[in-house]
Amino acid sequence: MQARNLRTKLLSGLAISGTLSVLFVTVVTIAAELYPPLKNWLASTFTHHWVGKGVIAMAIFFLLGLLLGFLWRSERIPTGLLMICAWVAILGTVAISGFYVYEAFFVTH
Amino acid sequence: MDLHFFLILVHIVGTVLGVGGATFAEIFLLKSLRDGVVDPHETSTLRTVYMVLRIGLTLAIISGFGFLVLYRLEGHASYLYNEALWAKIVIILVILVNALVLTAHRVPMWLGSALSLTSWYAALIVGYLIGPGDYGFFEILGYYVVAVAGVAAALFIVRRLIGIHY
Amino acid sequence: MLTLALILHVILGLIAVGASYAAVMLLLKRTIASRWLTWSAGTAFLAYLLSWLTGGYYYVVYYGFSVKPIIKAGAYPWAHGVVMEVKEHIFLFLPVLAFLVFLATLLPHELETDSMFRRSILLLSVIVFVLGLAIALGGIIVSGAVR
Repeated sequence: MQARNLRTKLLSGLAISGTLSVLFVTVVTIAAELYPPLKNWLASTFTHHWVGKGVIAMAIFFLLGLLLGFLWRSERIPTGLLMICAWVAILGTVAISGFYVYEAFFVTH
Repeated sequence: MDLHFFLILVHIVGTVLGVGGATFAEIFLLKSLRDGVVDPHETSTLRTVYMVLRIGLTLAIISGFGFLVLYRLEGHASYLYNEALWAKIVIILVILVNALVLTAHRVPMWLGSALSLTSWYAALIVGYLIGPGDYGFFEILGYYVVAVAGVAAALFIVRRLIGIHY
Repeated sequence: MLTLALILHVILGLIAVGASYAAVMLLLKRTIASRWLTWSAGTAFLAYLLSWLTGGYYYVVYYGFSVKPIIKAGAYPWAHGVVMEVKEHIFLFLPVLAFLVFLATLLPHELETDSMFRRSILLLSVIVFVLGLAIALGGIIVSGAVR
């Protein structure tokens, strides 16, 4: 029972941090293209901007997720949180894809 | 034996298992449904056939990607934009998605069967067309759609003749 | 080393997509084979993680300097500008979503009895599979533009 409760709490914490991680990747990807100093900061801090995005995204997911999971009180299955994470991932995919298509075909550089 | 030859061998074995598996899956399914009931022995036989089919699909996909990596590394990257190749990829995707929707009971059996059987034979034939062929992506898929309709009609007639109604 | 990294990236990616597909298939069945499901979801997560690391190594060390300029100067610059850019960023979603699916499979009783929970994990699994597949096909497009 204890193992089950720990798993549901971790799932809740990681569902929230997963949503935030996906949201972070979406926002920072678009923001870094539109605001070069951000991309430069990521590149200089992490040797490559993409490495920086990945490291921060995983830190948000695992570190924040574990922390939230251990602090979580409810032992209910976090169905709603998982659905939100799924839909944020779908919307994030559309946003990133749409942004790069727009940049490639509709913006003059 | 070089890598290219090895990949061809694996790809052929995978295709044979897949096409053969799809063919026998349809034959055994028709046999099972003649009396309106799929008994445990028939279920077991069908499960075995589906397992062989999955093994074939796995071998075909892995070796197929092996070819693509080889073309890239050997400087034949242009092959990766071959229209017949992309038509074959679409057909393989149909096989994969069809298996999922059949499992979820979201597609009628007559359509699912026709898609599965036609797709495997189409993948086999289109595989031959990759390379020197002059066939366009939409041309191949057009023939494929017609073939699916034809096979669906043929299976409908066969089912009526042997007394299966669904 | 670079060729090995690229080959491993592709193989591990294929394993990951295949395992994701298996997870979706198992979740669609009336009765869940929980051990197989956990193995599939766990394999998918690990394979996506390793594919990310090997692909990332190739990307950071070689692609940016040697492959990207060829694509951008060639007949299909959108293969980098759109396909590769989308691919490299969407890939960051996969370990996250795949881990959530794996963790959920450690609650087999709840997956069997709670239909809404099962539906949410099925949706996540489908997303993981579709994104993984799209990324794999994107890789073919990017590779084909290197000429």
